[in-house]
Amino acid sequence: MDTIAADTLVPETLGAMASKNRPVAATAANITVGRFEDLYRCEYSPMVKLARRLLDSTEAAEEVVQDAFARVYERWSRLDEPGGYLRTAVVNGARSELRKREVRRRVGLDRRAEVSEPQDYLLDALGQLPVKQKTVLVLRFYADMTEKEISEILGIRLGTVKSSTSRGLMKLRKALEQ
Amino acid sequence: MNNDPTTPPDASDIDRSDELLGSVLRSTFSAQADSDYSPPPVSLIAQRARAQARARAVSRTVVGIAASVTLLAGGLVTYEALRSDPAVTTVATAPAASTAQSEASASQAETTVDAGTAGDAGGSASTLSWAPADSGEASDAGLFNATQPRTIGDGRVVAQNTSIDAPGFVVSGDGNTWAAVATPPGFSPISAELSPQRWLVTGFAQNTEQTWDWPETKAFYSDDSGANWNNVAFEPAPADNASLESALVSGDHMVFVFKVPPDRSRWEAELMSLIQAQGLAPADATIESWSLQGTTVSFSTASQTAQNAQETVDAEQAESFESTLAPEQYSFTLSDEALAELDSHRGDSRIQIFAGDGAVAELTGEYVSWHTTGSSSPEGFQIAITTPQDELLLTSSDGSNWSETSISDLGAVPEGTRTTTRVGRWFVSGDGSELTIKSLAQLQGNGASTAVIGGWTNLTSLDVGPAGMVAVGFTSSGQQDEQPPELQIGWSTDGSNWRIEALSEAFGLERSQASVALAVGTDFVLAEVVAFTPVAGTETSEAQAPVWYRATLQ
Repeated sequence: MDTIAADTLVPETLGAMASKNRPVAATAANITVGRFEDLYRCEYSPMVKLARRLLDSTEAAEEVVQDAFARVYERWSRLDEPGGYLRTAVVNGARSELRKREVRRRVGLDRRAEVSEPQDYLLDALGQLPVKQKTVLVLRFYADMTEKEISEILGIRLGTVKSSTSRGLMKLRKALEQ
Repeated sequence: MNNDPTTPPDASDIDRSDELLGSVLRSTFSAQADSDYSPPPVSLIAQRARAQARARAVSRTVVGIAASVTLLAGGLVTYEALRSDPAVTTVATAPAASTAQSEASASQAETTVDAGTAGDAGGSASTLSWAPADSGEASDAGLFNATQPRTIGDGRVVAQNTSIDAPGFVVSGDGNTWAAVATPPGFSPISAELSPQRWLVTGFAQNTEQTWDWPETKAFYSDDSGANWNNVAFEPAPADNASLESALVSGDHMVFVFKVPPDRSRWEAELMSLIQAQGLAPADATIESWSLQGTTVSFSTASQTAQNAQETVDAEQAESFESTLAPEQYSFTLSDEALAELDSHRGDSRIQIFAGDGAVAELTGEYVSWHTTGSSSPEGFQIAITTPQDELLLTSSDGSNWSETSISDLGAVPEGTRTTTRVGRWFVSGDGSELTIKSLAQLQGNGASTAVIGGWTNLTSLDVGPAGMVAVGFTSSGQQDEQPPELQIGWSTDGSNWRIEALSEAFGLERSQASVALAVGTDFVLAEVVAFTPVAGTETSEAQAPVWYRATLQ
């Protein structure tokens, strides 16, 4: 009947990442997370949805999200903002996967793009954007993050966020015009 | 609009057509078919985390590897804890139990299990003969996927059923035949504590509507093996944001330990004062966000002008302001003294202890505690807490009055000890040549003998039941190669004579690191083994699917 309580799970309010009316990870911004399991159960699905927008694959998205949760799990007692850390880990994990895909595509190892069915013209065009531009647009228009938040989560300058947004949209527009 | 792709556009280039395209993109995202994704059991995340940790250890030196595995052993304790709170997101009414309490255990008197009194082998260790067991075997409750076996202490074992059709808990009196623990309708169970007299389940009320509000913790008890359930109310209500850490039952007494997060308001107020004192931002600016990393405080402000503008225009105009009125970013470094002063206002987490015998559990104790473990035995409750000053052991026979003892005064860490671990109510210390295992009861001087495992330096799993004591551990001394130390499993009926064999021999596995969950019944032992195998060509390890083994005493 021994019950071993979790080790030093100091709950913290995720206030620093709070934002308004955000469809993705709204829970991470608004709830007080007392235990890893609470964050896990609340955030798993929203995070998979976010990663899926970046990776166009549910399987890859779940892989990235589970890896991110494992990182949070390992560091739980040391994290002041586990929700923010989680989101950053998911986005960075997805970017890393996208970069690998780019490399594989360049050397001809990844034929995923050739065989995948077009799901939507705009989303297809989005999928063709460079990793940074695609990531910024997904965070901006799916996750409803502000440019400042995107700057923080990606570790890039605010100006880079703005220019990536603008260039990404420009390329999308050209793709649509064609 | 800047159409030169080589020149970054400035903020003014975010024109109306960009906004329109952004809206289209947003609508496209919204229109994408997207069902909710069910998280796998949280234990899988724990396994993945451990695999990541193991992967990092592979390339280290012998000393490094030994140290890592020691940490892993510590991590296992946390892992074990988290395993007890499964992530069950599908809420379903568990099927009605047949006779959840097995015949084998129904007639058993409650057994106090302790080193020195376990088993009746009279000092000689029986042999355990392991054989694979199918955790997905058909049972009275239908097909299930059991995981995380635990000893109840009266001869039965309980496990979590991760089946989507019937999530919850199952019990067995022989390790072969399982029956569902019936839970109240519309209730999503997270933990189940079973004593011969009383079953106690905690969890959440079923969410009928999608909501971001985390449902309230619920507790129910049953005195007729789950046929009827009674709700437990907490008076007064636990503190805001409190989370239930432990639910314990001893006889018909129940204890609930809630963990309360620290109050950060004073800490935040101090930080805001420090930011204002820097004089970096204009007087009319308001702090929009901040972060503290190490000694560096970063913050951004929104000017009053921008805020006023946002308040006076409609939402669409306000959104366009957002991109043109970017907040200012500032940062500064705190001195060590300022950081120490700030940290003094962080506040501490605390626990609230509620206890009761029936429909109402009352607040009976409140302590500052960074770390808490709770356990129960037929004699009562033991809660170990780590306060800023000391490690304290709180004991109570019924949960209403608590006695405090400094754990250091109990002699749990004898002189010459190199490693110590606490597994529930068990205190494990090692001197490099053997492990000494003492129960809280033994430390309190009730005469029970001490268990000693010779040759081991680290313990990763331990469980005790009517049949005896089973442990998994290893020795890290004298390690000659860069392989992690091989795990061993030991079995004893008296705590002093042990039969020890390599995990690989016991379970017929290739030498590998593994996580082992153990449960001890009347005359059998269950082990759920998750092996971690290196991935060729990488530094990572991969968690294999859990495999169950059942052993009977020979």
